[in-house]
Amino acid sequence: MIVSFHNLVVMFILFFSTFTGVLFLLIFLENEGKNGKRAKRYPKISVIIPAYNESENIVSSIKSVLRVNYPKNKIEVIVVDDGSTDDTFAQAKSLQSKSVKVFRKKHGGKAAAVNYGIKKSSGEILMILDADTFPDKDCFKNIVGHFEDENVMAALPLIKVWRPKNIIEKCQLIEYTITALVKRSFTFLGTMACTPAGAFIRRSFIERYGDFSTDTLTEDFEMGLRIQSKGYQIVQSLDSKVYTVVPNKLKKLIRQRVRWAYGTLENIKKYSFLLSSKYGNLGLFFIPLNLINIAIISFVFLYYSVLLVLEACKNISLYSLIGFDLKRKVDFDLKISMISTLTNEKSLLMLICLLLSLLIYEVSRRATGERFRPEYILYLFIYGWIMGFSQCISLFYFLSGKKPKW
Amino acid sequence: MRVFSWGKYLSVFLITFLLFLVIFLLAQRISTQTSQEIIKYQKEMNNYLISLNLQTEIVKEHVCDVDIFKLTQDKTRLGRELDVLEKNLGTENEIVKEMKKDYTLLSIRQWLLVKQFKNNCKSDLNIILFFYSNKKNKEESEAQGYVLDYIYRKYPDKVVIYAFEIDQDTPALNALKEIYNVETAPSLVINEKVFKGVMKSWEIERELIV
Repeated sequence: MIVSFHNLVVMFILFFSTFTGVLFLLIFLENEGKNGKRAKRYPKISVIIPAYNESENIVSSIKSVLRVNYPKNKIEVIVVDDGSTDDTFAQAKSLQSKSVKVFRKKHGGKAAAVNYGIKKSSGEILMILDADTFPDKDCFKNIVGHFEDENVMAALPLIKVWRPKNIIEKCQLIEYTITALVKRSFTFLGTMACTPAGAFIRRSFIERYGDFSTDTLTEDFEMGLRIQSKGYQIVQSLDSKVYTVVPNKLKKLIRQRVRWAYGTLENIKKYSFLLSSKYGNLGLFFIPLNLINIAIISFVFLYYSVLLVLEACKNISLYSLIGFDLKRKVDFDLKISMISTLTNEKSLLMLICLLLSLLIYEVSRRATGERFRPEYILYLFIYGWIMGFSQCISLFYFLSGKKPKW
Repeated sequence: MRVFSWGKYLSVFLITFLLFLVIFLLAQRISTQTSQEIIKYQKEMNNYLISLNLQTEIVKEHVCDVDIFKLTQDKTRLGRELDVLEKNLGTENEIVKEMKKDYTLLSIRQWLLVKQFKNNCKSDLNIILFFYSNKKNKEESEAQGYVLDYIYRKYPDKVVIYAFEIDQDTPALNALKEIYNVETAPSLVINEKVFKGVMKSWEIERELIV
């Protein structure tokens, strides 16, 4: 192979992707079937639902909690209307009962609303549920067993996408399916460090180490890092499920991902002291992996965008030399293509990476009970660009010291 | 207690490293096999040409019976396979350089035969000589190659093209460059007329007898 900057870049990316892919897959397979302990008792669970302009989902969300298969006297729903301008409060209020308490406060952001709800709650375990997320019937029963281990401070249900319709939602479904395998592997490495939608957290931890942080864009990641920094564990469950509504438009998706990536960066900066051998896998693997990921994804996006534009310009200039008579240029020679692929290490390695990613998708899909989606092809080749674009924007904001406005 | 799973990371690193090593060896093996196949093919072509030359010498009056397009098609294919090897192994690779030298000689020998064929049998055959460079004006040479590929596909039974790398130092090629006074790349010789710089498809078509 010719040694050039481009080839070195490609080889590094391929090596890094293969390394992480094989690692996650092996850890997952090694620990397959290891579930949490069976619950010896059913602790009281307070479900905190922060809601801002969620009139469309709030009723379904509350009802889905009330329908779960768990002792009714052990469930408490706390709805905090975060100063909505629509009728979220009235809708939630219509379901108010002994076990559903509805509060209203001045708009102050999700973290502040959650903290408000925590103060009004009494459960031993707190579930932070977004208003557009709905727990599965067995969600609570299947997750509480994890809390039998006193070192576990948070447990995460498997997040599934609620009724995906368009291609953007379907790609996110595939992403969530694959992420489940990655998060599960993080659990076994003891590095799971996020408490996203539907997370269950031990009240005692919050009482001892404080509420959700209100000065970050991703308070769930901050809480995850805080739990890890204190030496406790977060576990990812596969048999406890929640369904969430995902962004159905490109702009919404990019906004969400910019927020997530920015939040990751600002929290890693805040918890930079974790980058130490003292914190084992978390300090020497999880945090560096996150940073390398953001750097690689942003770089790949920028690098390949420039290459793509240059290639497009070159092609247009070539096409102009033949008067844009392109139909005569279409020619496929199988033997030449085979020789071209098989004698090129890069092409062979790319092929291996593709097969590996397909294998990871297949294993995750089976573990999470999802069916195979042909949209996987689009997820592989187009969705990555969207993620790359979002990472770049967030990196730009972070490096320029500004918070994303959108 | 917090641990760093050295063993896990190291074993996965080794697995990945071995996987890459296997792929590299595999690609190299296939490359070598392909080179050997091309060398074998090239030898066959040489034998074919020698036999054709002998045949031409023996029965000059029957030169028109030679299947000239079959001959040029085989050579074009050989050229494309060589292109792939050149891209993968690099222009400075010794195997590639050696094979390109042989290919140039083969092309010149074939060109002489085709010229004879054109003069004696098929007057509407267009012969294009393409002088390119991988060093100076590489992009212009690539662009000219792209246009010629288009012309070859558009007039498969009217045009034969011979490409020569101008930087090669071969006595036969030097003679050819001298005959047509070619010093820069890209340059074209279309039916004995010399053109310098990149030519567009319609400019080339104007010079063709079709």
